[in-house]
Amino acid sequence: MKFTIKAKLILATIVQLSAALVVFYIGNNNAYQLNKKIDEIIKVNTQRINLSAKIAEDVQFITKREKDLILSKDREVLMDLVKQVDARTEDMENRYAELKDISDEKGVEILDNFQLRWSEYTSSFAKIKSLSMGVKNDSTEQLAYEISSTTARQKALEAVTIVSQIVRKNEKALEAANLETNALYESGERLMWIILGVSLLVATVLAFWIIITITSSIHKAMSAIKAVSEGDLTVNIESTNKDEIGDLLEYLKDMIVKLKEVITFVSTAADQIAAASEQMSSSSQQMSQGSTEQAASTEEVSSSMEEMVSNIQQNTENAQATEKIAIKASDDIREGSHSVNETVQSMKLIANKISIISEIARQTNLLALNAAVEAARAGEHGKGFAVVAAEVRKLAERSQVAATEINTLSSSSVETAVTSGRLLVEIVPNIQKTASLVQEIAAASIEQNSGASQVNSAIQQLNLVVQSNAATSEEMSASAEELANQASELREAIIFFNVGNNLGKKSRRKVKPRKKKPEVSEHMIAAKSKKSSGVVLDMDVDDDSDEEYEQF
Amino acid sequence: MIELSTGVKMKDSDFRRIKEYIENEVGIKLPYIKKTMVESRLNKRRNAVGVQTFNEYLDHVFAPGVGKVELINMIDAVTTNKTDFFREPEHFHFLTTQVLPSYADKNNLKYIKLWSAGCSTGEEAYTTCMVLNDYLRSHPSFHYNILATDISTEVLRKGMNAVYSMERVAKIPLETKKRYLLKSKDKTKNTVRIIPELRKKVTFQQLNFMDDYYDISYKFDVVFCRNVLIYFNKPTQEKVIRKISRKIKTGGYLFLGHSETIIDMKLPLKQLGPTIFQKIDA
Ligand SMILES: C[S@@+](CC[C@H](N)C(=O)[O-])C[C@H]1O[C@@H](n2cnc3c(N)ncnc32)[C@H](O)[C@@H]1O
Repeated sequence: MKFTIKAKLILATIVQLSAALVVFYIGNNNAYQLNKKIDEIIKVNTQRINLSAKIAEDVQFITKREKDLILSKDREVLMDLVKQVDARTEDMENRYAELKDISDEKGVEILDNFQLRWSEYTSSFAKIKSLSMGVKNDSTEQLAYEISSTTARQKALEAVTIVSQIVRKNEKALEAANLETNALYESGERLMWIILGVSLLVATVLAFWIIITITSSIHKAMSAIKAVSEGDLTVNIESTNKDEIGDLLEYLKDMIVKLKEVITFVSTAADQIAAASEQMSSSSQQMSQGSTEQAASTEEVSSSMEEMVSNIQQNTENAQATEKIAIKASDDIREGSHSVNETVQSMKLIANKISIISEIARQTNLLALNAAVEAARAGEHGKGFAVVAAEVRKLAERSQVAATEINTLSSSSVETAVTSGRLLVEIVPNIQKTASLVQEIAAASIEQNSGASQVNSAIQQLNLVVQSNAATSEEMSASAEELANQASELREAIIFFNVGNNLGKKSRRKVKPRKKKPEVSEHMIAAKSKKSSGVVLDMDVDDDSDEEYEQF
Repeated sequence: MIELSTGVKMKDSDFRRIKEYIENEVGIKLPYIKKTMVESRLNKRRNAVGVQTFNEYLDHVFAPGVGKVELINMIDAVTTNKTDFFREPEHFHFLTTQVLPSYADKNNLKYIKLWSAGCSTGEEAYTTCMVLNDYLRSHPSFHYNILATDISTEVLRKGMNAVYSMERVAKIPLETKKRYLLKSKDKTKNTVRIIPELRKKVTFQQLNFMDDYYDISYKFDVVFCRNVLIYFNKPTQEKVIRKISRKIKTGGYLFLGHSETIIDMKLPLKQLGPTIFQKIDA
C-alpha cells in the first residue's frame, strides 16, 4: 500500500484530533454528570432542605401564634392571629405539597409521618383556637393552655423533629453526592489522563514514524541529489519509500537517466568535435605550412622568373644590336669590296704611270749618259756639268729601280687586292646570313620576352593567390586551434559529470601561463612613441591618386 | 645563367629569439610549428636587408637605434593579415537590424563611433562604411566615424591608400560597387579604390594591443575585434578584451571572429548571440 507523507500526516492529525475528541467527550461527559449531580443537589436536596427548614419555621410560626392566641383578649388581635395562622398554614401546605412532590420514597414516608403529627397538632390547635375565640375565662384559658403545652406542643415538636429528619437526610444525601461527584470527577480525570497518555504515546510513535520515514527518504533524495550536483550520475537510486519523496526519487532517477543520455551524447559529440577540430587544427596547420612553403617557393620562382625575364630582355637587346652590327658590317664590306676594286683599278693605273716613270728614268739615264759624253768633250768647262750628269744618271737609275720595284709590288698588290675583293664579295652573303639569323634570334627573343613576361605575371598572380592562401590557411589554422581549445574545454566541462564510463578522460593540454610582460623594450619605442605622438597616419601619403580612377 | 635566390634555413636559436620577442611584445603565439612560416616570411626581409644569415638579420633588427625600421618590418612580416570585404556578414546584418535603428532619430542626431580593432588592410572598416551609408540612405541620419587600428604599418598604409584588386571586390554587389568604388582608368592595373567620401570616414592609427593602455580618448558604440584573438594565447586574449571593453560604452557592442569566444573570462560583457556581445555595467 502506498503510504504517502500526506496520508501519514493526515493519519497523525486524525489520531490526535480523535484523541482530543475522546478527551473532550470524556471531559464533557464528566462535566455533564457532575453538572447533573450538582443540579440534583441544588434543585432537589437544597430545595428539600429549604422547604423542610421553611416548614419547620412555619411550624414554629404557627406555634408562636398559638401561644399569642391563648394570651390575647383582644378580638381584633385574635382575628388577625387566626388569619395569620391560616395564611401560614396554607403556605405551609403548599410547601408541604411541593416538598412531597420532590421527595423520594423515604421522604414521602417521613412526610406522611409529619402529616400525621401535624394533623394531630392541627386538631389540638383547632381546640385551642375555639377555646381562645370563645368567651374567655380562666378555665378555658387553662384548658387551652394545657392543650397547648401538652398535646399541641408535643405534636409540634414531633413534627419539627420529623421535618428536621428530612433536613438531616438531605444533608446526608448532599454529603453522599459530594462523595459521588468527587468519585465521578476522579474517574473522569483518570480516564482523561489515560487517554491523554495513550494519545500522547500514539502521537509520539506516529510522529517518530513519520519523521523517520520522511527523513530517511529525504536523506536518500538528498544524497542522490548531492551526488548529481557533484556530477556523479552513477548514483544508484532505489526508492523503497512509497511516498512523495519516493516519487521524487523516481523522477530524479528518470532525470538522471535522461541526463546521462544527454551527457553521454554531448560528451561523445564533444569528444568527436575535439578530435575533429584537433584533426582540423593539425591539418590546417599542415596546410598552412604547405602553403607557406608553397608561397616561399612561388616567391622564389617568381623572383627567378623576374631575373629570367630581365635576362631575356637583355638577350633581345643584344641580338637586336648584333643584327644591326651585322647589317652594317655587310654593307661596309660591300662598300669595302667596291673600294678594293677601285684600288685594283688605281693600282693598275699606278702601274701604268710607273712604267711611264720607268721610261722617263731610262730616257733620263740616256740623256744623262749623253750629257756626260758631251761634258767630257767640253773638258775643263764641262767638268761641273759631268758631275751633275753623273748624279742625274744615278737618280735616274734609282728611279728606274724604284719604278721596277713599285711595278712588281703593285702587280702583287693588285693580285692581293683582287683576292681580297673576291674574298670580300664572298663574305657578304655569309654576313647577310648571320644578320638574318641574328634577326631571327632577336625576333625569337622578343617572343620569348613577352612569353616570359606573361609567365611572370601569371606567377606573380599565382604568388598573390598562394600568399593569400597561405594567410587564409594560417588564419584557418589559428581558428581551428581556437576551436580545438574550446572543444577540449567543453570536454573538460563535461568530465564534471561521471556517467560511469571513461568519457573524455584524456587530459587537456595546459595553456602555459604567459610570462610577465618584460620592460618595454627599446625596439618597441619606435612604434610606441609614434603612437603617443598621435600617429594618425596622414591620408595624403597616398601612393595612388584619384586622378587615375573613374566612376565604377 | 639564372641564379635562384633561395632562402636560407632558420636556426632554432634564431627562431627562439623571434618567438620570445613577438610573443612578449605583439602577443602572437609562435609555437615551433610556425618556424617554416616565420622563416619564409622573413627570408624576404633578410634578402632586403642584404645579410646572409638570420642571426645577422636579427642582430640588425635588434641593434639599438638602427633596427627600429626593420623591427617594424619584421612585425609586419609575422602578422597574418587575412581579411575580406563583407567578411562574416551576420555582424553587418546585426548592425543594421539591431544596432542602428536605435540611433536613427532625426530629431536627436547622434554620433556613432566605431572601431575596427586589428583592421588589417581596411576591408572591415570600409565594409562598415558601406553598410552604414546604405542604411543612412533609407533612414533618418546619424553621424559616424570609424577608427581603424593595427600594429602593422604596412597594412595601415594599404588601408589608407584604399586600393584593392578587382578580384578582392568581386563578391560585392554591383550596386554597392558602383556607389562606393572607383575603378582604375588604366585597364591593365585592374584595381579599384574606395571613394573619397568613405575614405574620409576612416581614421587609421597604429595601436599595439599589448600596450598597457590604449591611447584613445573616447569610447565606442561598436567595436569589431575579429580574428585577432585567435593568434593570442588565452591570458593575452583576456587582457586584450578587458582593455578593449574599457573603451566600449555601456550598452555598446563588441563583435568577435567566428571562432573566438570569451567563455569563462570575467568581463563586463553579456552575450547576445554567437560572437556578439554587449557591454554591461562593470
Ligand atoms: C587576420 S587580421 C583580421 C582583420 C579583420 N579584423 C578581419 O577579421 O577581417 C588580424 C590583424 O591583427 C593584427 N594584430 C596582430 N597582433 C596585433 C597586436 N598586438 N596589436 C594590434 N594588432 C595586431 C594583425 O596585424 C592583423 O592585421
